Amino acid sequence: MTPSILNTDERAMITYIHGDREFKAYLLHNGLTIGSVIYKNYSPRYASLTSITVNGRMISLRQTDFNKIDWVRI
Amino acid sequence: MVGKDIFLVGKPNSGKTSLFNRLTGMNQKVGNFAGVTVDITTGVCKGQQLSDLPGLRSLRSMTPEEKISRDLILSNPEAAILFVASGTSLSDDLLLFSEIADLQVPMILAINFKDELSKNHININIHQIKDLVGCPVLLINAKDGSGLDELKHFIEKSAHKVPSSFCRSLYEEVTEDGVENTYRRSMIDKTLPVDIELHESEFLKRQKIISSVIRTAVTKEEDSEHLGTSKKWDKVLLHPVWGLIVFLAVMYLVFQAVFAFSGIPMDWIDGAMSSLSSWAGETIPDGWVQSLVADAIIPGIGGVVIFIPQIAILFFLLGVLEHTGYLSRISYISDNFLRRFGLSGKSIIPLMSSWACAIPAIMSTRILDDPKERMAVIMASPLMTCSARLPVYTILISVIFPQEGGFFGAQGLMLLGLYLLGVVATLVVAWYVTKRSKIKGNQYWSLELPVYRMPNWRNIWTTVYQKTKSFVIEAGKVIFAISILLWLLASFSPKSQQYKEQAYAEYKATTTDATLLTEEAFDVEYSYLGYLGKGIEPIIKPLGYDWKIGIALISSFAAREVFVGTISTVYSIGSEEDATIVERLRNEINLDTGGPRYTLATGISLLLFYVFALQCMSTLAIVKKETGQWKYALWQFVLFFALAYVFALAAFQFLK
Repeated sequence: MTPSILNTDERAMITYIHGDREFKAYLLHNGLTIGSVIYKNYSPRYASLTSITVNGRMISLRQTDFNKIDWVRI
Repeated sequence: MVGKDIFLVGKPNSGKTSLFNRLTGMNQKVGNFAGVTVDITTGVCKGQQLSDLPGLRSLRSMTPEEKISRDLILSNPEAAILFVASGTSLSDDLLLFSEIADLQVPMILAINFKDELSKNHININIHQIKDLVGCPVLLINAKDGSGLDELKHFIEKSAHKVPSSFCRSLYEEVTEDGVENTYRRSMIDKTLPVDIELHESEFLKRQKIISSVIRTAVTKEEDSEHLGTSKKWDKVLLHPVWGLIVFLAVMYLVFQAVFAFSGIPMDWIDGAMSSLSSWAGETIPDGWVQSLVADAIIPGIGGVVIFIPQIAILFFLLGVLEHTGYLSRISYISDNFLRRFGLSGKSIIPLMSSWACAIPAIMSTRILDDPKERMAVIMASPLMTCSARLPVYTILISVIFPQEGGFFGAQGLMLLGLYLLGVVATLVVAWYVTKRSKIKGNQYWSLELPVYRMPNWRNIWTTVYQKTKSFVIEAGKVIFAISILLWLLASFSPKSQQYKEQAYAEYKATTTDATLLTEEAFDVEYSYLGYLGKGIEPIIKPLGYDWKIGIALISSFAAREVFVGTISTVYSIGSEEDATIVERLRNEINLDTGGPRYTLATGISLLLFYVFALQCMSTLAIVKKETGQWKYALWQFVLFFALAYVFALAAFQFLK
């Protein structure tokens, strides 16, 4: 897993996705796979959700699901 | 003669239904929220049959509404596809376009939200997109209709064209007969193992092809200004402090508006139906026909139409929240709390709507994409305190707590306690259903936050009209039937008229009680309903009730608010004023004990019974309509009745 935290307004590229095939397929259908460029919008503590922009759409994922995604800042 | 089948396909929230309404002149529900279209709607445009399909994220997505679209596209290779892409997220939408393009079916690409593109200075080079996709491409705006004349012309002339292929080459297999392409078969054949590596490489290839064109054809596409504006709003509306304040304020306003604005039209409808009933009673000659029309048919219709203002106002306000994009933000804010009960943030809308009325609330569960969560909310939401419980609570609280006691008095605290009990019961039942239900739920959850948009008033009114019409037709049939059944039970007696008159004369001669029954109330005692009340007395006696309360319970199974009217008749209270009802109830004597009938124990027991019991046939009818089966409505009825009985019994036995 990626140890550091992606801050608000930072851009990153997905390098690896942990989890089963179903999870990877679910993310893929939402436009997220290895090589996808994501843009972190916000993740307030009260919500336990992470909001990102991918391919021009704003999507929120559960924090636990987002933590399964490895990325590098770009 | 209707021509070729054309399927309107696109990602959720890309404006398909707005376009469908424009092209066909129909009025389907539209919203700024993913998953608005959950069924297929068909209309005619320029002699061609146009079908509006639920939004699709990918041809491989398998949520129930996506499966409808996917199966229809794959099983109709001769149908043409009118693909609607959102201009503000074109690269994402073209990924789905490319998946369908590889099926090699004739297509047209319509890029929507032309207004938002120009407002946010996003330029799309249509010629470059045309070169990429290899089929006709148009820039349109479904909201104001711009670009639609050309699109209609294309539809009329069947100008669809088989587009370029993107990744078909990945599916070529060498067989004895030559090279076979297995792309379509791989989509149809569900027995094939999911090859995620192939899907990933396919996805990346599509992304690479599309990105290379988008990079030059679209300027400011990635993180463009339109998202920037929404993000600025979100910094406030999703803020840990300001966001919660705005959320509570909005919910308070919606809740208050439903009550405040619906009061006058509901009173007006109530008055009009009462006048109509009186008029029918005076005009139609005496007899059972008069009674049927004046006492059953007109009140039955009134019982349906009286809910129209609340339903219309609630759906109008929800429509505004949905069209602006704020509905998704409410889901975002409440997700963490509701997750503890097996629900998600998307459940907050139907749950809060239930405070007004469970009927529109249950109808609004269609916004939930998880079938298990939807079932949990349908099953639990009738426990939220709806407006029909309020008159029952008000009267019973006034009877058992005579002192008002100011702002923090016992009456107000009791009412607040009943509301809170409703919330707790709802969450517990929802949690229980999500734990026990065998319905397969979605393992993963995501929420798309649409960009903020000005509401489209025409589409909001369409939604309000359709929801209201649906309620009147579907729930109305059941309410009407049960109203007539109750009338039959209350109007007919196993005893002859002569017997009843003689019995009443004897009763009058021997009774010196101040609470002498009128002949009308006495008749109720000898009706089938009266016998039912007496029949259930042994069951309800442990709760502290007598047969008169039993009649009120039976008659209010149709609708809770009937309780007040029934006890007025049974206790022979002619006055319309609540105070008189309250006084009469306070003065009612328990013949077994010689003390008051409505003690604290009986009152609390009755209140708890009404907190839990599902005494609303409209709700049962809507549950059946939304789940498609009576068994869920029956389960709900039995469970809530059991809860009502147990709580009422415990309260009476503990407090007596």
